Amino acid sequence: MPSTLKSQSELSAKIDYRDELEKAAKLMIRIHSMDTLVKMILRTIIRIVRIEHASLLIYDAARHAYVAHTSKGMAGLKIPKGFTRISSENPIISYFAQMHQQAVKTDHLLFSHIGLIGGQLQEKIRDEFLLYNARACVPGFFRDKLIFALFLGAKQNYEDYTDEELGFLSVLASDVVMAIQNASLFQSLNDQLLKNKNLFLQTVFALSQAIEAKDHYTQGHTERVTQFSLNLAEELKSMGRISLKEAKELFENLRISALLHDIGKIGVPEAILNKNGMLDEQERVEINKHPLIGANILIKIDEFQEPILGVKYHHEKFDGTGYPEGLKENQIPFIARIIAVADTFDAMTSDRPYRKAMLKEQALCLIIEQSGKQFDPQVVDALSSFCRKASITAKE
Amino acid sequence: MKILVVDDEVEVGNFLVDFLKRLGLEAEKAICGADALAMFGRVNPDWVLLDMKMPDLDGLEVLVKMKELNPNIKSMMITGKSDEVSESEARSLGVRDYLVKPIDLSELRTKIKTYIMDGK
Repeated sequence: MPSTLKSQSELSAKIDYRDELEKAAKLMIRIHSMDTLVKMILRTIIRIVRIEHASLLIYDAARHAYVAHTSKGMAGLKIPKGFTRISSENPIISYFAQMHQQAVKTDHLLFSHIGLIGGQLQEKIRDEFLLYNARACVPGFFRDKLIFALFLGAKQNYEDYTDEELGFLSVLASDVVMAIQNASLFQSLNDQLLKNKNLFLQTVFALSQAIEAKDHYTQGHTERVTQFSLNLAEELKSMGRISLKEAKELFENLRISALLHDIGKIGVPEAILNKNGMLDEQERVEINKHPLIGANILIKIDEFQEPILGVKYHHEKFDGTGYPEGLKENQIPFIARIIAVADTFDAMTSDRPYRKAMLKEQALCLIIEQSGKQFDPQVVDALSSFCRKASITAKE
Repeated sequence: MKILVVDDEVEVGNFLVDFLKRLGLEAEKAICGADALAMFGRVNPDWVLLDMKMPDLDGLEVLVKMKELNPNIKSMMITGKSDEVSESEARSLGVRDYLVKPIDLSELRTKIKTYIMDGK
């Protein structure tokens, strides 16, 4: 052989495996998507070891089987994603499980070494290798669980796998174990977070219902004010008054705040809340305490620090004549200014102990009249824009 | 024995054709129902291995049309879910058996050997 033509094995001996492993480790840190990571690792394997195909079958608990998750390599040989499965009783899986149980370290199984296994299992394993056109299989254990089997095709030069290549493969396989483990941890963490968040919102909703139970005249008021506040915020967003960046957080806080805006009425005597007629001075003082009572009920809960502002200040007026603190204009937190409009609009348009409901158009006129006095002009703008749209839809 | 593989997923089609060839069978692939019908006369297969769900026609519709061209055509189906196949309708069209994805390759091989190679 002329000296310039080196054999494949001589060439591959020049590959810096440590360098490749370092690159793979860096990928692990940078990429959090398990699918992407697995794809890149398989691609690395094919490029470095130069094999015809590599297919990863990952354990699927629901199916009690290992399902083809990712494969790379030549058309026809690589296993299409999701197309095949091998059961947990598959001879190759059984072999790895047995070796693991007997504490025999098994980083791989080579087609050329199957003869050493002996017994009945040997033929069955050979058969499985042929089905998958595989020359090597690398197991992926996490603790005592075999979480995947990596089927590897023939090398492009048809030589057997070298020890160096096998060592390289087993390190990459443990990277894949980590990637799968991380992904599933991340998933369960996310599930847990979502569950907690739902629980939190349901608790808030339950709390908001407490006041509805006490105050007979405000049936559905809390939910309507919440929906209406969110509609106004949506309107403010489309008018460019709320940046897209702050919108998500503001919407979440606004929802909670609106649901709880009257929670302080729990501390107001029922006789006053349900009085059929005008309130006297002393009764007015009592009922005006509800924003502060509400804020005090919620103050211990970390998640409520923003929503509390809406509870505490939804009776402040833009010109500084409201309560409890007589704040004005921008001193009044934005969510409180939104709830103030939604709250008043709903109160005007529903029946109350001392008067009948007003028409929506009438209520809107009264609120517009109070723009810059009782209410923030930009929220009033949002209300008239919303009502215009709503009346157009109603006419259609 | 000549087999026509019909599957809209190119990778699946390639894989199945290769798999059948490794078992010593002659195989060709079509990438959709219309393609399969267009190839049918030229290839003149003894068997079709059909994907149940394809974008243009479903597997059974393709089979009805193939039966018109060759009443002796025999078939096996691959489906996404077991309930996708109306068992009686499939049997009446001469479907020998079906496999549910993800399939077990040794089961596929056994079925191919039993039905196609040994003609049982």
